Amino acid sequence: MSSITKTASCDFVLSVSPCFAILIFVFTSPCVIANDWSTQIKLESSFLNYHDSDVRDSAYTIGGQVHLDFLEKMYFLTGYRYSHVDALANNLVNMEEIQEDLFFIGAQYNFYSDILPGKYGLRVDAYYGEMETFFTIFQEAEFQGRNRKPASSVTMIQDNDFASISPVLSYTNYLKTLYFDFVFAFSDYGDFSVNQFSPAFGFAFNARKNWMLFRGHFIEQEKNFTTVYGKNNTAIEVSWTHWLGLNAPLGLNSFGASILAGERIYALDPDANQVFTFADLQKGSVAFFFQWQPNELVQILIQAGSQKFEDKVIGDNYSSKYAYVNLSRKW
Amino acid sequence: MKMIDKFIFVPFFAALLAFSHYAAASAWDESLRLESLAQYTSALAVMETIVKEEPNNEYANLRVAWLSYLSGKHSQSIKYYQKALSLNDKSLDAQVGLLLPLLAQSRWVEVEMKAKRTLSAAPWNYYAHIRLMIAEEALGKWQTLSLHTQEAHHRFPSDVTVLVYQARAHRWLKEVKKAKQAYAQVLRRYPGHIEALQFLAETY
Repeated sequence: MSSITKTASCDFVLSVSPCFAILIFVFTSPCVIANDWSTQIKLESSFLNYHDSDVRDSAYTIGGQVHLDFLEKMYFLTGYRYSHVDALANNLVNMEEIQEDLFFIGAQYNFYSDILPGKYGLRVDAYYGEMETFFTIFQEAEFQGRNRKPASSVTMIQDNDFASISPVLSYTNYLKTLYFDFVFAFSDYGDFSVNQFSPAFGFAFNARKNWMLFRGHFIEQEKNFTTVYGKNNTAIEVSWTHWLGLNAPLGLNSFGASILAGERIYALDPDANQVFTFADLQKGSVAFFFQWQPNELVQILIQAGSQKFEDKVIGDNYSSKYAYVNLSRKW
Repeated sequence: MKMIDKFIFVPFFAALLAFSHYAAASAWDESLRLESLAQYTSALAVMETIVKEEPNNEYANLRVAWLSYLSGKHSQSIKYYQKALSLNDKSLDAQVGLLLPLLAQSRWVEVEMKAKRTLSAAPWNYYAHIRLMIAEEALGKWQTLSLHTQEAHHRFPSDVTVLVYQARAHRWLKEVKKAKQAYAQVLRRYPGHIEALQFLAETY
């Protein structure tokens, strides 16, 4: 026995047809020269374990993306990610699990200018996701005359669809020692919407062997009158990458760390092409990453980290530890 | 009256023509003179007036492209090299010249593709090879660079630059013995080469 209840549906239908039109043009255009295009396929997976949570037990994601580059002039990308959260048995909110399918596409065109010398990127990413949350509904025993209907449970599925669009304007100087970007994002969750502004500033130092990136996240929820998380959330993210030269230990190409301070919810991460839809209020994180390049075409990235969350509705403060791996290959 | 007109106007137009020819020639000369004094922006300004009057002059477009590159106007340089190529797509000058502003803009993949295309028409063009090596190094294509420099060394055995790139490729591929051999050859051709001396001192 099961009943399905739709509690929220997304009115906002993202128009993706122009992007497909561009892709069709790209593949059919007579000016396309096969050598000028390169393809990169990335496969990724992560495993996450929750600690001290009253509801959540563990989670995993699996996904992949295809990156199509035309020299250094433009690129297109498309990807998919499946996420699954398992809940603890007999938890406070009777949640069983969460499943999410996230589809995303993106395109960037680069301009080169002599006025302020550097590369200017104009990028648009679009996301569409379908999230299903499974709850157990307990029904007490009922007496109808002499007949007794025993206690039972049913599973209720709560559907939440969402869509996001994110234009990005970026600048990199020719030496690749300075970087700025202005990320805007608008996400529609049906009942409410989220506006996000996430500017970033990056710079290289120590003969370009090190890279620092600072990104702010300014998130504003609209029409969400029931939220207990506040209308505005702010967080700052700092990441450091160090490139190793010759004689690197374990054949490493680079490694680094990142921290996030502040609070964010319903955030869109433009660097990871991720929309954090089923996460509670994120209250900080720390991560370490290591990257290998066994040959000219293959890259492997391993990341491990810890995050803090709060579910303000039930007062659940918890953390998670995760491991993430991605494997990419160029053609 | 007609005879008088001829006597007056023919020499006048001849003088005007000669003057304009002299002025144009002096503008070309002036741009060369300014370039020789490393006044690239001024040299470019002179050439820009010429190319405005003669937009389909291949050599004028090449000169503007080159002087734009020297002036740090890399996007403009690309535009004029491409214009020169549209006037003469067989021009190796324009093809290898175009690689310079692309390198300055760190467009390594584009340099790689365009240099390979040039080399398919002119297989042993030295500049195309060196500029391709720069791109291969920037892209971290060490195996490709190693093979490329080995081939190029057979063609340009006295060249130092090819040997330096060969040594770097061997270093990244952890082929220390081969790197030492390549740097030793660099020093034979260029005594006092800092990079070669440092590596040989470190690995002594």
